[in-house]
Amino acid sequence: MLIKVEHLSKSYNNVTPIKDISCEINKGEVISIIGPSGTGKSTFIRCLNLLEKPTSGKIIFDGMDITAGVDVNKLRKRVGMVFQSFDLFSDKTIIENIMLGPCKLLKVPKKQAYDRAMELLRMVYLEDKATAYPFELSGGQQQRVAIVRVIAMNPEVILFDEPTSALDPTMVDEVLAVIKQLKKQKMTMIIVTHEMAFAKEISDRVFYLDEGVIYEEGTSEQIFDNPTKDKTRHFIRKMKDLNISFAVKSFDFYKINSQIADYACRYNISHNRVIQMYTVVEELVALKLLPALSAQTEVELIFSYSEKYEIIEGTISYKGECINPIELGDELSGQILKNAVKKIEHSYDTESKINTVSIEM
Amino acid sequence: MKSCGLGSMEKRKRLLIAEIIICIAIFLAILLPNVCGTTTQNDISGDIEGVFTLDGMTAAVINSDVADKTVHNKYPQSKVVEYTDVDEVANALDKENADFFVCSFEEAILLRDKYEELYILPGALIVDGVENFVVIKKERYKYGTTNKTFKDVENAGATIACMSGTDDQIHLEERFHDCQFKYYPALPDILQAVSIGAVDYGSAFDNTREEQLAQFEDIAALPENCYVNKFSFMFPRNDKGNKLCKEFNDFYKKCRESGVYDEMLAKWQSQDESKYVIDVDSYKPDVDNGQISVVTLGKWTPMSFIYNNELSGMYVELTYMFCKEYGYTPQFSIADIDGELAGVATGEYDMVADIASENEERKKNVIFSDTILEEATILVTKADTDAIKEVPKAQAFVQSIKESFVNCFITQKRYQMLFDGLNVTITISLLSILLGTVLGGIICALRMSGNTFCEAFSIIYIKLVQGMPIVVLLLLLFYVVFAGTGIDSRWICVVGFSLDFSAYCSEIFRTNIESVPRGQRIAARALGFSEVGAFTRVVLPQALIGILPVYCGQVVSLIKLTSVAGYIAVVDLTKSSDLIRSATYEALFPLLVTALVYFILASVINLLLRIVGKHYGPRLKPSR
Ligand SMILES: Nc1ncnc2c1ncn2[C@@H]1O[C@H](COP(=O)(O)OP(=O)(O)OP(=O)(O)O)[C@@H](O)[C@H]1O
Ligand SMILES: [Mg+2]
Repeated sequence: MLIKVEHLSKSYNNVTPIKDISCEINKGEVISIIGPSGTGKSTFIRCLNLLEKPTSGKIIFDGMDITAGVDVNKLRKRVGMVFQSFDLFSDKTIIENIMLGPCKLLKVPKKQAYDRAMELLRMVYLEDKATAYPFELSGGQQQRVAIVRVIAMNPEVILFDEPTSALDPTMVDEVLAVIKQLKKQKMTMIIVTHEMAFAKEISDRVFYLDEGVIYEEGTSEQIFDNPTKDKTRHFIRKMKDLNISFAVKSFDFYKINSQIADYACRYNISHNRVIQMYTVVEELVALKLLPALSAQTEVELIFSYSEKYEIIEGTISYKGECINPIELGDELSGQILKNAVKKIEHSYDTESKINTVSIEM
Repeated sequence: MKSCGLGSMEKRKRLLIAEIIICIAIFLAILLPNVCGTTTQNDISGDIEGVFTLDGMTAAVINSDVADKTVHNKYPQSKVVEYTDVDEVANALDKENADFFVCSFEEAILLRDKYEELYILPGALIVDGVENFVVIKKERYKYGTTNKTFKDVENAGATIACMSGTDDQIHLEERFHDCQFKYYPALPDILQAVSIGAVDYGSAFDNTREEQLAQFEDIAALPENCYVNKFSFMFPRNDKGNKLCKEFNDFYKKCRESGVYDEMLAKWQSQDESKYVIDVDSYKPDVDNGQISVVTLGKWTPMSFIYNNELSGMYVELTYMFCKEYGYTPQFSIADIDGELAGVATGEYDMVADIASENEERKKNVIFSDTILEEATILVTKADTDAIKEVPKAQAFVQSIKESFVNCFITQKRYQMLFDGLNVTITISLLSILLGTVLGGIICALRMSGNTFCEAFSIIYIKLVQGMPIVVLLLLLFYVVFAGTGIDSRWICVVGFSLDFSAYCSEIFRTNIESVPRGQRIAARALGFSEVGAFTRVVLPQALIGILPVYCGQVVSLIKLTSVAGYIAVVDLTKSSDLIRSATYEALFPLLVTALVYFILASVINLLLRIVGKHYGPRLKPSR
């Protein structure tokens, strides 16, 4: 085991992006970290090389507790990091960028450092750019150099923070190819990324980060194909939500329909799908459910659409006694509803007294 | 790429040629006014130099009572001839049966208006409170003449140059209330202003008239006296000053009584320049009662002036004598009258070896010694042109150019003074650049430290220093902060300029450091560089690209800025050229040469910095 994180938390003045993270990472493993924006992915991996100082918890790297005051500069030589913005030193040539660390920090003789740097450049097919300046390179080329600059330090683990987010789509692949090659060389890597297909392909394990914790963790297949938790699924499937809440007495059928129309328009949802959603609102909510509820009851209606999987999920939730709207109302409307949806279920949580109707279309 | 390189070569060449052409044009533009057209030169043929040289000559009088007494009093060796009316006098003067005619002002004006060939000598003869004037034959007068009187001055609109530090302000403004006044620090400045026509009239002293008129051929004095000044030395209003003043008064009284004073006067007023030496060694005190700091003008021949690059003059020698008598060792500084007054009022100086007029306002701040000199203030103006001959400027210029040059730089080894001044300027500049840069770095570090208190401090520091004119800063340091500490004013200059320079430096540093993308510093940290390592290896080399050119400019402007050092009694390059200017009454050469020296100095330092930048600095590559 190379890295062990125990109950790590990190707060800034007014936000606590990381609340409680624990995990173990083995030598040679490739870990992808995914999650919505602003959930602390960057914060987490910056904690791993102490670019951010953890508020509490422990990080044990190669058997030593690095949160208990170690020589950070020494640690960072063993934990490399590649940034979203490449951050090559703009006044130095490519070869100087790569040689600077080994020469000044590892005290490698110049000749040796040069040979190694050229060898690494050859590996990423940028040999001919050795004497160029960073501004003369494309984004993808710069990022490849940035990776090489880290490898030249012979780190034991490399942290990537969204290495392809700042690149044009045409350049993403050349950078990912380099990372794939590193996996072949058994490099331990922790990669924060939004490239789902890439993450799925390369990762041994995937962390889904949300709400300040590792919300769900598993192999690529588990996380990407069979996520067990709602939020994970929403995220993986890139689901787009429509959130409508209202009190029973102020239910406005036309207003809700126009909201659905807007939502459909925004995400390019097909006409058939819209009709289905209208049907759910009319038959299930207006005709079956509302008459059974008291006037004060608050109802929440959520539609989630996944473009990739071409599905819509609907959720209706409300508080009170157990009322299952599916059974209510007349036969005809029940029939129409059943034709419109794939699956419909009611559940009741006796403790919180919340009714939930899940619909799949 | 290659053709671009060649093109820039070509362009550089063309630029260089254009630069040279412009330089020549500027040179010609300065020179041309001096060689084109005509200029005036006084025909110095007369034998009468002024009211002082008349003793022994034949005097003519009409009203025997008063005039007789005046002549006997002022010119004891002169023979007096009595005439009955003015026509007779005019005839006698014309035939040179009489050399001069003593009468009242009204009579003199009458006579002059009637006979064009007669002239009223400037300077009233005062006996028993009655003013009399001298009329002579105009062509016998040695200097420039004017027919103007105070009546002409009173006509509204005239501009009068006055000397700051005298009572000119009070008396002249009262007398000529419709006139405009301009203030100058010393007599030579006033005379120069009159000579170049910057003002219509200038105030001057009766006694020093001859000296001035000999230097400025185109200046003439008006006949009347404005008012009589009482001049004396000054001491600060503190215990030390009180004691010194009392001692000085005793000493001065003894001098007058024993005739030492008159001997000295004779020595310093004589034409024999070989006597203008003070044997400093002979004035070493026998007992040691400590040092006293003495300030003097250094611009006033023969009382306090620079001779052979040494501070010299009667008042300087008098001070040495006084110090020997009481066992003091004097430390001399040179400052203009404003500086003398301010310095003695704050106790910066223990004694002013220069006379200033006594008035009530000043008595609040300083102690005056017994009156040393009584002297009338007169007005001078441009001489009438008919009395002076016109010569082509080119001829006069070529004639005078060598003379001026020799006079300004060779005579009395004045170049030595320039070198000393240059030395001071370079020393102050280099030290200030060095200290200012270091201090600037520290301020910049504080500014970027992230500590609220440090940041606030540095922001206030920068705002204060940048918001203050450098002269005010220097004066503050000199008269307030370091007042009475006895620190050499050159060091105070270094402190002042360092403060000023550091404020600009720190901002130059900060803006350029901040312009380096933050990500690169963090990337370096992530590679394992320490904070210092990341700064020196990654941030600084990039920041330097932007810093160097601006820094060079700032250095050049600092060097030029040091020219105000004279404000606090430092004799730097500018001040030494100023002293030469006032000693020689020549403006062109000292100023031209000074400008040239500054130009060369700035260019050389700029070049050095560029070479350093090329060798040790970052490669100047364009960034994205
Ligand atoms: N230096 C900081 N000071 C204060 N708050 C910060 C700081 N850095 C990050 N945060 C906050 O912490 C939270 C997590 O930020 P972080 O950059 O780790 O998110 P992320 O998951 O990397 O997002 P993204 O996918 O957009 O990069 C955000 O709300 C952010 O505003
Ligand atoms: Mg991030």
